[in-house]
Amino acid sequence: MTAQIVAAGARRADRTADPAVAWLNSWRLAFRIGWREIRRARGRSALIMIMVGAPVLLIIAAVTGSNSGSNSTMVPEMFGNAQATVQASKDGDHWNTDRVGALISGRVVQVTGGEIGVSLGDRLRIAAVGMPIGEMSGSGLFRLRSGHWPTADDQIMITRDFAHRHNLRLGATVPGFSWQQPGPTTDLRVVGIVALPQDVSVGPGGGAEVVTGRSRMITTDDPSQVSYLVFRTAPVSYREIQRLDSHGLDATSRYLVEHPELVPGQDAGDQQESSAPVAFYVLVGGGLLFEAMLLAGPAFAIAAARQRHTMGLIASNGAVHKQLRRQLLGQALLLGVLAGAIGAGLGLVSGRYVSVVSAWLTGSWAPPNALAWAPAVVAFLGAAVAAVVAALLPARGVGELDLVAVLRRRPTATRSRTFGPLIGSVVLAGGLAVTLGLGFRAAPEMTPRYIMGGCTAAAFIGAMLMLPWLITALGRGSRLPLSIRLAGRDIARQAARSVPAMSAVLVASGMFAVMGIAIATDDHAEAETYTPFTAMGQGTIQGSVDDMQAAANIIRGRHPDWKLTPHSSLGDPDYGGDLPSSTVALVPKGCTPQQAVTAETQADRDPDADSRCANGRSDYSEPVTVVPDGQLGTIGLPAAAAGVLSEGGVVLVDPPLGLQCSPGPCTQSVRRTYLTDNTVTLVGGTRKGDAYVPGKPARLAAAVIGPDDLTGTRPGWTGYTSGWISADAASKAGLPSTVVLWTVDAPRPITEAQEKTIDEVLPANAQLSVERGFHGQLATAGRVLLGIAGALVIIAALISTALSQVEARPDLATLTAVGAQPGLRRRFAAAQAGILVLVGVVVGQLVGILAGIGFAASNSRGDSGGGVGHLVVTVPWQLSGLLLVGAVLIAAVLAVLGAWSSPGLTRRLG
Amino acid sequence: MARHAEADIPVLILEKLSRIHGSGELTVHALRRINLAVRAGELIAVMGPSGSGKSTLLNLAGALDKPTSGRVLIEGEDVTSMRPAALAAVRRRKVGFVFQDFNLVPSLTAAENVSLPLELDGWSPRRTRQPVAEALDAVGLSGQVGDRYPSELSGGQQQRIAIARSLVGPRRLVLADEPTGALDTETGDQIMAVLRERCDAGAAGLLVTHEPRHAGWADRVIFLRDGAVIDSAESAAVDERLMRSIG
Amino acid sequence: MAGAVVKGHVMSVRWGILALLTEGPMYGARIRSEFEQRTGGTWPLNVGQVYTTLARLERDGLVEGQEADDEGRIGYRITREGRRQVELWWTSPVPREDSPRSELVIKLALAVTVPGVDVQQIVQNQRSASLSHLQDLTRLKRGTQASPAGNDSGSDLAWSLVLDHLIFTAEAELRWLDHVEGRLQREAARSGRRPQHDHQAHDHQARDHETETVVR
Repeated sequence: MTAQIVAAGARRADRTADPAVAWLNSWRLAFRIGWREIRRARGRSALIMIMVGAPVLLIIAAVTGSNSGSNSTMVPEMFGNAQATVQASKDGDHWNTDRVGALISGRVVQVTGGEIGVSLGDRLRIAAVGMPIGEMSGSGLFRLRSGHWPTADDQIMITRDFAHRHNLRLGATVPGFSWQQPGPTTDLRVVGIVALPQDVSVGPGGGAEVVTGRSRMITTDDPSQVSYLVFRTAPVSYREIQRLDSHGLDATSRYLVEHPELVPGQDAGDQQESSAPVAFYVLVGGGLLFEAMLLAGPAFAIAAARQRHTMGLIASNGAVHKQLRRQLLGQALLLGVLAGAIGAGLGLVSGRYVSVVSAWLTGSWAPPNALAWAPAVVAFLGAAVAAVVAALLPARGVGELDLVAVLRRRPTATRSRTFGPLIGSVVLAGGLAVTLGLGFRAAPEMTPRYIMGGCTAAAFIGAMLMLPWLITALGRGSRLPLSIRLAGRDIARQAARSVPAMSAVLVASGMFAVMGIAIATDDHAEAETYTPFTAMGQGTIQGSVDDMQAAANIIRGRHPDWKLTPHSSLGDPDYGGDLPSSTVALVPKGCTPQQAVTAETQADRDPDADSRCANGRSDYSEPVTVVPDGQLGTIGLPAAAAGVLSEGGVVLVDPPLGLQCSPGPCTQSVRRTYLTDNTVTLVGGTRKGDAYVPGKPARLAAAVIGPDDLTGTRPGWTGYTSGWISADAASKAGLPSTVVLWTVDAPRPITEAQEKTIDEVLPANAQLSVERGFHGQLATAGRVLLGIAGALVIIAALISTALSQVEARPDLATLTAVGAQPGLRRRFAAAQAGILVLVGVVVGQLVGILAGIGFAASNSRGDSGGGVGHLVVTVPWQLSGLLLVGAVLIAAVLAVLGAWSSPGLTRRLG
Repeated sequence: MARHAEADIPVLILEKLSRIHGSGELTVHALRRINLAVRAGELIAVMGPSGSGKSTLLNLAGALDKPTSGRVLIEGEDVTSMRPAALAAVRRRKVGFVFQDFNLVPSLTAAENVSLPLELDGWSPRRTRQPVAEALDAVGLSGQVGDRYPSELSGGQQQRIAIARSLVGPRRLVLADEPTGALDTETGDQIMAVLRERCDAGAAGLLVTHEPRHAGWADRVIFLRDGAVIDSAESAAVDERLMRSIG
Repeated sequence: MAGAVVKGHVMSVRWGILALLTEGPMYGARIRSEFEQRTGGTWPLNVGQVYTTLARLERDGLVEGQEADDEGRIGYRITREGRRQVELWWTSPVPREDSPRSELVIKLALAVTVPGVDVQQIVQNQRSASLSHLQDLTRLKRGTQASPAGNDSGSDLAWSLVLDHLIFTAEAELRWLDHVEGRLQREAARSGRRPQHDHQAHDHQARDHETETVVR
């Protein structure tokens, strides 16, 4: 069949009428070809999608995962299945289930939190929660892990950790008793392993280790530990809340927590997240996407190169430059949108359930986090933008094809620009100069810091601009071994691919250096001002008197050879509850002992009364330390004062150590206020009800010293005192004292494992802590930084090397045909990766260290953070060196492993 | 076989065309003042040793390259001084290329390859269906082939598709650069037959080849050497004489 | 030369007639018409040629003459020896000493050695002529393919085989001419002589101006 080709005169008018439609069709064509090309190069496309989507996933997962503190997330932990929780704001004993139930409709269940006593070897105080056994399963507060819900009063459920620690299994019997009220021991049977809410501070029952039906056995000092859950279908309204409040009950409605806008007068601003985390996420997210852009750039450059012939064909069929660019940009957009959507989706899912999973793994339970839609959309858009931007430069190259060469499949040369490196060097030098100058000279406020930050970023960009020149110079080295020379030349020739990868390495190692210096300097400054709490290797126990005593007993039981020493102060300085059980007052001149003890409480009732006389009370200022006999010489007093102390007198320090007088220094003079003829009068007071009954006043010899008169170093816990008195003198004078701290000394240094084991059996509020010196952040934070920076660097290097290996296959095949050894390819790959990492890390760290020094100088001269007043700059050389050596080696080894398979003599065609 | 004598203006005119590469010592005169006209219905073959300028001639004729001096007129329009956008339009609407191989965009189906210049011109895919079907038909391919990808087609089919694309829609000038080079004898002959047939139907064809047998399909054969035309051959007419000369 | 060509022809006719007779006895006129038909009409024979050849074949013992029939036509029959010879002929390749157009080889060989002869021009002239010839052959072939197969598809096949042979032979010659041209150029470059084609090219350009005018 012959179809006539229409003659010139009768040619159809084929001008497309509507330019908008033409534009749309052109993009449709670009997307169609782009989608096919993406599917053809699955590996490369997947790589780009991972690089762009991973930051999105991480950020959205982090944002969603950190939503665990938001109200909507916490509701299940706060309420379980209940509609409201009710607590007695005062008169807790007055209320019970029936009384509360009379004021609000619905089923009211009492939940008691507190402590229960158990005998497991030692007599232990264990946090417990009590609830009627019938209500346990329906409350929504507990999740049964194994076993069954208690069916009788003497059955309990325990957490997995508790069972593990004390080696208990289902069916075991635990003798239990009430800790505060004496009573018989009851045998409690473990029938189930239970998971409680992970967030211990939020709802009733959080932090407990035992769940029991015997609420009577649970005791607590804190009336807020008793709460009532209201179960019903209808939400609890604000009016009902108000009604309960008028009766002295503090109620919280689930519905109102979820919809805070319905509460009149509530400041909606309270519900907003503060801006600081948002800024942090934006910064980190932006940085990650920037890195992704740098890493994706080479992949797009390869795509452009691979599709060069297709582009030439399309051009020869009449495409303009714009249309050619659209091909690549269309692909980039498709990939970015896909990667962003998948990354955001996965991030939302993983962030939502991360706390559920982590809680389940630790034996508790947590509800799924609320979804953060707005950040997800922003991150998704960011990914699309990042992908398109990454493809901009390669797309421009596509638009400037040499058609004839491309269609003849001749290798095309890459042009290098000359002015880029020049500008780059200027920007680099200028940026660093400004940063260092401001760091060493300017005041350490925020504005210069922002400028320094901007200049540092500019310096990095300047260094990046200089990279092409640098790697071209690399390629000229002629004395190096063949594989290194080949690698250098190849890197220089494929600038479009290697420069972005090297830039990624540069930025990653530069940021690593800056942050490393910041942390190291911080650590150094803090180490300088660090005061150990107690002597090295010595342990201390702090808490309520009874708790500490119990702890001491337990430790003594397990380690009879350890020395436990109680340390007391006059009065009851660390009192729990409303009022101290006793007080000891220094009587100021012109006051009676009576007044010294009672003046302040009188002022409560009579505002005009003079409260000056009560200034010396131990609970209104720093207390006087009671020094055990035999330790009088350890304080570091000057000879005269030490003599006064040993003879039964009192030594006062002016101003008291650790006293915070604000604003400005303390003005009250101890000498003038209390000293009369080198004596002071002390009077004790015991509590009766709300008031104190003064005891017999004691007039004792006294000496007053200044803080600088003390010699020697003292442990940190002794830094809060008004003075000293010997134990002997205190008991002779009948002055009450209370133990404030125990010290624990072991013949051999207490190991961390020992410390941990003991803490598990000690009361929660009286734990043993052993002084081990200053632990800076550099150790842990440094490792994290190293890991992240190292990973980024290695990934960048491997991507670039992998892409270039594929490109270089024809050349390598030729080499093999010519007789190059099989190891050459592997050495070539290793050299490529190694050179990329080496140059990138060295340049990046140089820039980063210089900038970091500027920041550290600025920090150390300021008052914020670790300002020590003089210049402190520490460079973590070990860490930097580790990054350099480690990254180069690992990248080279991985590159060799990746290049292990032989290429075969493939056809030398594209 | 009578030619279809079409319009008076030749489809392609090369007027005093020269192309010089390099400068100084490295000067290469790829083409020297070439004059050539190709009319509708004509198939012109260009032969010559390598380096004679055949490919340069074709590149200039298709506005892939700019001449140093002289003019190239396609359907009466001077493309030598056109801007890139206008040149691209010429390539979309007036001129088609057929290369030796790798003619087709691998990620487009055969039909999409044929419609490519139209779609680049802004045609909607629906509107291109009919011209594409006609073009495929004209080169002897059925509709099912249109849905296959180039990797699923034989070399001969690919070249037919390339020819179809070069003459789809309003295009009338096909520039072929050794289109049979990658094909076996039989398929090569078939492709030449297709080209010939299209020219008989009114297209204008300029063919670069080094195979005399394929040059035999042309109406005129131009010989190039060192950038200049040294001779041309045209066929004589009569059949009877031939018979006698053999015996 | 001419003698070799003639000899080739003679042998072909001889074997052709023998091959025909393997199908069965035939009389002379019939042999002639069969031969012409089966060679696509490209090889007309005259009757004298046929009978001369038959006589020689009878003399060599490869055919046997038979009794004249009622109409006085003498039939011929192949002998056993004849069949054997035909078998041999089918299976043995055609000897290759004959080379048509060897006149061209002589011409060029002499042109290269005789001074003052423009060898490039000879080559080009021959090339143009051969290419024109090739164009004609190709057109003929198109004509065969276009018109539907008429009476005898067998003879059309034979005709196109012959035509293809001519086309390929012409191409072979053209390739050889290209090669000769290249050799000449390399020789000229090596011995430093200016290639003689320059003013030829100019002449042709001048002619181009006349014949291939740009716009009508």
